[in-house]
Amino acid sequence: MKTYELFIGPQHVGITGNFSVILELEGNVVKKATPNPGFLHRGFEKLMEMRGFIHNVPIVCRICVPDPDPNEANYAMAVEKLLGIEPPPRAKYIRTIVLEFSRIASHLFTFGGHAGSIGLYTIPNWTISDRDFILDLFEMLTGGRVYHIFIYPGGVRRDLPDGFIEKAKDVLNYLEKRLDDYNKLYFDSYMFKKRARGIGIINKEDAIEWGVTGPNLRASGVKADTRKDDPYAAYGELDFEIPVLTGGDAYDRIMIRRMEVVESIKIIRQALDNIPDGPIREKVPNPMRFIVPPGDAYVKVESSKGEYGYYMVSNGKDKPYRVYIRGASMTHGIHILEKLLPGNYLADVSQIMFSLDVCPPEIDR
Amino acid sequence: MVEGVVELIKGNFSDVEIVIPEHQEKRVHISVEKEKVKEIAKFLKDNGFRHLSFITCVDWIDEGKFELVYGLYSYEEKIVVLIKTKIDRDNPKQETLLPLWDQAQTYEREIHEMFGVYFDGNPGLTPFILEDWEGIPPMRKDFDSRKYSQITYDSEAK
Amino acid sequence: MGIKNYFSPVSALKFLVKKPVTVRVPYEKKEPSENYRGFHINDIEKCIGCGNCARICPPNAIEMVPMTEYPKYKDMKVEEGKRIKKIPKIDYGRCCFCALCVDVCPSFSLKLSRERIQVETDKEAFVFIANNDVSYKDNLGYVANEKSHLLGLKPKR
Repeated sequence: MKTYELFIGPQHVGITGNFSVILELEGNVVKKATPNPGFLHRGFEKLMEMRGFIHNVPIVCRICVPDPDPNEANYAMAVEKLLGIEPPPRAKYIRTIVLEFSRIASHLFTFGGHAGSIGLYTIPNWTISDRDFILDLFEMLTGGRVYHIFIYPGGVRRDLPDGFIEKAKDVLNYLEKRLDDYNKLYFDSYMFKKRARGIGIINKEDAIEWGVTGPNLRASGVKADTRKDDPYAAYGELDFEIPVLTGGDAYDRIMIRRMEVVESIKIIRQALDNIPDGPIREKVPNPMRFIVPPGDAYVKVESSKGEYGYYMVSNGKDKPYRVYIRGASMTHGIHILEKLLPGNYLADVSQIMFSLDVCPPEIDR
Repeated sequence: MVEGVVELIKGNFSDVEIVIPEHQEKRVHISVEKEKVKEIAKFLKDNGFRHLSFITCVDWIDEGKFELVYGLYSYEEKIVVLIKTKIDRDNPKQETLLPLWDQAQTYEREIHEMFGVYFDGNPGLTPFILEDWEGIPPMRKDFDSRKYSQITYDSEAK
Repeated sequence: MGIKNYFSPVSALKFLVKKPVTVRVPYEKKEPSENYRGFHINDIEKCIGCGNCARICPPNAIEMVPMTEYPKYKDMKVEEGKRIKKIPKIDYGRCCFCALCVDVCPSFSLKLSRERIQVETDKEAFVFIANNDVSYKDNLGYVANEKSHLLGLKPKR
């Protein structure tokens, strides 16, 4: 049979952001897939070399739009490691709350996208509206809805406002109740199971070998989570489980995210209940002359997509010498897609992309 | 444990500089000659460091060197090992890690495009993010992005 | 397929009587939160013209201009040999509303309001001197406090 080329993207390919895949098709079966990134390249790494340490705080969150807080936390942690300071306990708890809310918000986005890609169009409407309640909380805490610019080297920028804890608990209760609704329409849906089961399988050995991280790795049966293995913020003091599934297909990759939302709700409840009193920021240099001693550090957090790392080199000046950003989607979006797409139907392409939760801004940076 | 990993590397490789960075838990930084990288990466891979986190490059323009940094992670030890090596800036060439990790392709492609480092034995060093790029690779320190944008986008400066 | 599954779509009817989550613009208005990061307010009398805000501003949106550029102080007498106080002029084409300028202001004169909608036909109107004579001057949003201030200063009573 004759093969033909099909360009998917850069708009609406089943991914949040601009990203295209060049498919070689035989009938409606994919023979070869070549991811083609670069539509969102903004040169953040170069930009950060030219700006002071504090001037970089408002731009790092723009690297991944649906899940901005891991960037802020990573950047702040890298600077803290080089300065040799630790944020105070209260700041760590506030960071944990922000990071987990950001994870839930990002997972809700993924649910909506995946459900949309298999034709369940009510779910995107629900998840996006529920995500807005989390954005309301962010707005209350930080003053911004999407870009929070909140986690500052040495701690956080503001304390929890009055009434935040009660409002956050209300939102958590609401989300927990909503998960039942989602179950009925989406997670227990016959159609979802029929479409997603057995699609894009990554087995355990391949997952480690190919560099899969985060929820996608745990869906393949590897119990690994940066929050447990290399604790940052307040995760070392909180009690939570790491859900693991063994199927490694699109169905398991979505279900593991649903289980993670439940765990995140648990983590936030604990953090809200046990938040200690005290200062919210460690003493750091003057923001106008923020000089960081020479050295290099690799820090990483568990973002909603996987291992999110920053490698920062300082040469003792007021600007970072080099910042490298390791987005989880760098492997998921290029290498894994190349491996997974061939052999699947065209209709499943966007579903596989969304089940991997690829975030193109992380690839391009 | 970090000490165990240090012992393991010291026991098998003699001319390796090992640094345990201050204030950073579960991190081991090692510096090696550029010929040794593949050997040591293979050794670490056989000893549990099966996850290639990232490969990146730092441009030390004053020294005239590029520093390649390889991040490896072990799911058993839960330790990150950074292998660093310096290569000549005028003739940037390095052996590829493709035989060890398939996904090194993505990172090597990016470094080839952004820094102009050539990876021997990697057949797929095709354009990655940039389109129709001519001139020096943009992530090098001597590339002035401000000047570039003025020349390219500002009609008055032309 | 059990009998329960057969009737389960009926439960969707409950959404007919639920309150919608959307806001009916323009009949209803969504109020921004207490410390929303909106447009700037500057108490020019209180401002000491130190230029901290211009130096910290990540996108270089703030320029320090002599106080006499502001219409209200246009005819102000300047004593011989004395320098005119400089005040921040903000370019909203560049501003990213990070509020770092608010958190480094030593006199606590610069604040953010909760006002966030501006419609103009003249593009020059988006570059203006932050002042205290705007309609939203009492609608305070992000204001620096003891804990948030990056220089560790306390607001005066």
